Amino acid sequence: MIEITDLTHRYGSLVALDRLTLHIGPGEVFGFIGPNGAGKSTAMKILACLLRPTAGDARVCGHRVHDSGDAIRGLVGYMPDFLGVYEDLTVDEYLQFFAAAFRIPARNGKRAAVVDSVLQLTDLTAKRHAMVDSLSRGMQQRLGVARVLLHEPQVLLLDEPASGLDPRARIELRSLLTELRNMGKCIMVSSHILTELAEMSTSIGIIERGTLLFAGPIGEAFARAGAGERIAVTLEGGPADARAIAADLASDPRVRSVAAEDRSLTIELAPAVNGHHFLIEAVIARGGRIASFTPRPLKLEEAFLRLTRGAVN
Amino acid sequence: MDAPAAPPAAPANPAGSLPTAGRPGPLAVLFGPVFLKEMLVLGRHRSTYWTRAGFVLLLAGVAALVFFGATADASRLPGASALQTLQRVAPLLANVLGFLQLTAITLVAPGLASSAVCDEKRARTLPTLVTTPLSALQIVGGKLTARLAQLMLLVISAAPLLLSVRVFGGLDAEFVAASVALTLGSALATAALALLFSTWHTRAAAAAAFALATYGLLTVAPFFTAMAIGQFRAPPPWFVTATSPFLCLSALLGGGRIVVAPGVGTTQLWLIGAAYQIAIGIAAAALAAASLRRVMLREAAGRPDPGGEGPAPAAAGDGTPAPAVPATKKRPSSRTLTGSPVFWREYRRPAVKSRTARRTLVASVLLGLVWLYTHLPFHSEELHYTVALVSVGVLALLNAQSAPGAVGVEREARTWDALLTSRLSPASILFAKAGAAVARVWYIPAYALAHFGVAAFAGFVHPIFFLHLTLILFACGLLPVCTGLVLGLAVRKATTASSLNLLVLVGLWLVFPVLVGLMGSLAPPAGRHALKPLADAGLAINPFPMIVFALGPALRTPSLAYWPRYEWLGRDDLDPLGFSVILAGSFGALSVIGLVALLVAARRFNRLTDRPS
Ligand SMILES: Nc1ncnc2c1ncn2[C@@H]1O[C@H](COP(=O)(O)OP(=O)(O)OP(=O)(O)O)[C@@H](O)[C@H]1O
Ligand SMILES: [Mg+2]
Repeated sequence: MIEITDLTHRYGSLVALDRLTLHIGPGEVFGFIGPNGAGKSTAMKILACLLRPTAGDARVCGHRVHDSGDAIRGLVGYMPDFLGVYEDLTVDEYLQFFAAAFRIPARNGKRAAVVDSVLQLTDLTAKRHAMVDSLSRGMQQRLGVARVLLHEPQVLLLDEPASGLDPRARIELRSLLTELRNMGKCIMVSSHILTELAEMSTSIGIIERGTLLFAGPIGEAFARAGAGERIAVTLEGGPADARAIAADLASDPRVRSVAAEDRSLTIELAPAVNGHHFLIEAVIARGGRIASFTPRPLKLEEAFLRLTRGAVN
Repeated sequence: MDAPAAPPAAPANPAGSLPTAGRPGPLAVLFGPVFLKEMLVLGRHRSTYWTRAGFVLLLAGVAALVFFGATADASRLPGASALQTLQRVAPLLANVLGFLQLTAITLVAPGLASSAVCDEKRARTLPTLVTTPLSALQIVGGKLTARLAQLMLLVISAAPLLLSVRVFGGLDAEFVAASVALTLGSALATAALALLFSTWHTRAAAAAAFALATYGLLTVAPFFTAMAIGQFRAPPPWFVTATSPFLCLSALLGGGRIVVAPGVGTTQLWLIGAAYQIAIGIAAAALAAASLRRVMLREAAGRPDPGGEGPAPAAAGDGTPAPAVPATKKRPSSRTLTGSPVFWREYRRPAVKSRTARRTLVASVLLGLVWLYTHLPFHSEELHYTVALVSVGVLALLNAQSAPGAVGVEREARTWDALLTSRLSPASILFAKAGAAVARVWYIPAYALAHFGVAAFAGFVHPIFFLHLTLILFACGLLPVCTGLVLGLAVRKATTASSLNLLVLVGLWLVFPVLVGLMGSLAPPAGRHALKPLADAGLAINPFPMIVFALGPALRTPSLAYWPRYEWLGRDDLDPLGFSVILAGSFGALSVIGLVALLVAARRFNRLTDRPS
């Protein structure tokens, strides 16, 4: 539903997007991650028809951003990274305003019903008559999500929607996005909270300095990053034993790295090594007595840290 | 030797001291870190350089006009050498430049200073400032000196021009001193007032407008009030004249021959005048510091910014503590949106957000009206001229100032992006905004038309003036709105767009006629003939002379039994139909020009907003 081909954007001499190519299909939740200033917001703005790309092509549901702005605006719900609110309106009036702007007719209470339903969906019903500018940041963020859902867009572009949300609201947002995904919508989310993104995304894209480093399912990202599984082992013996065993294990080709601290070892397996039995056997064979053995699942942070360099554009 | 034994010096800023605990010296107040930061930022803005260039160009342009205008006849006189002509013109030139500089600086200063605190509020940087050891006085002082430094640079950049005039001699040294002192004093006063209002307002353009209005009240109103009290027969006492820098300068120009201030010498007059300006500046700066302290504390308390408007409610006169503002403001119910959403919202956008300011404004306007109607009898011509001219002027100025904000405010509040991703078409956005901007100020035309309705009914004015006034009011309300929206789209900063829009009106209704007139006086007879249509057109689209042309006959022939005869371009027997056609044609043309400009902006909307399609 989103097709980006060789998209380039320059702000003056600064290249914010450098020949970005990306495809996102229906029913996908695409997590867009990258260091600050990588170009995430820029890419989303172009897809929302807010910014004229310098070169390249971007299509939403087959419509080119260059010539079908109006069609795209009807299909896309864009939530900017910084939500502006009209100061002198209530929550209800704010949503009515945008419902009208998206040509939802007021006849037969249709508009009121739509506003009701998004208020319910984002749990804002209690704040219905509150002035928008007096809402807390998280509440405003929810209002932003509510606004985006008004016209039932096929494609959602959410720029850091979870920032400022409390844990409950985040969990709710996640389930909301899952629900929307099940409805066949295509969702592009940028976020810096990677654990969360990992849980709700079906695929991710990592961008740095305007260049796409990776795009695809999360599992593939780990493989690409060369990140292996991690296991924490605590021994009953003293720190000296732990160090000796660590030194021995480090020479095993299936082990990528070992770190010893006090009585515990943190072992990272080489990529694509499955199974833990060899590790248990190896520790026991070297006279270690295992007090605990905890495999740690892969984290998106690791892949992120390995794939990006933290260089600033 | 004994250095280690000495007690350790107290740290300049002991840990845990409150921001207000340190007592910065006067230098730290005026040239502290805030000053440096502001200078840096202002130096980075392109508009700073545009203003400077524009200022010098304006002065140079006017100087050239005055010069050629004044030498045009002289050049045809035999025997006068070029140098003699120059010497003859120099004093006139210096006077014009002195007045122009004073006017321009007075108008530029509030625009420059009004964003001082508004920008910080919008960027939410005030809480950060609170956590630094800077005091509110230091912040205000630094911001003010940085602006004043910019204004000084403006004056200095125009200095070569004034000096070159001086080279040709004949220039009074005292006049130069007075004009510089009054200009800088006025700059200080208006800049400090703008800063004060920017602590109360979130919109810089509103702060600038209020500052100018207040400055007008402080410098123009005393003179006129005193004149009115004296029944316009005697000049008011000198201390009233001293409140206006313009009058001080004129008194000096008259060399005491024109008695504007009995009882005091011209030198004392301008010195006192400059002192008065400085006093206003200092008082406004002190008030601004006090107000800023309150705003900063409120923002630091973490309460969502309640619009950042108006003095805190603690100012209640009866001494009872103000009720705490609830964390979320609520309305008992929400209104239902009808019709075009942009129109709906724009129409309801409060022009003045603070309730206190709104009430003060309404009260002072009402007081002014009461004063007007009690002092001028209803049959007096002055009353009707005043009502017609002032309503048209206020309507045009108000719209010119506020219309660019319809785009600028959204851009600054970042609601613009949300609007641009909605399905509203460019034309529907722009025309709804224009319609709402015109409709928002319905009370001005309503008042003026009601006044003349009653006057016509009472038999003081011919009813046809009602029609003429409607035409003029409509065009003068619509045109500034259209140009303002176009400028608001094209220029990023709302304050800049507002100033440019005001300039458009001033150019159309003031500079253009003066320019054509001067060119006419320069040109040989044949050229003068060719310029005539241009001059006539300039006159026809100018609401102020046209009101005089329309109202005079209507007042002289109020009876329905006769038709008024109109004077127009040398004729004095134009019938009402002919005159109405001229009026409808010229003001219709103004409205159409405005609408066409808006239409063009709507066509080029995506280019102006950088949307791909
Ligand atoms: N209006 C602008 N003018 C000039 N440069 C800009 C503008 N907007 C963004 N940039 C630059 O473009 C680059 C990409 O910015 P962008 O906002 O897309 O980053 P981002 O990935 O969204 O970052 P973040 O995670 O901080 O939100 C940055 O280097 C930024 O400085
Ligand atoms: Mg961003």
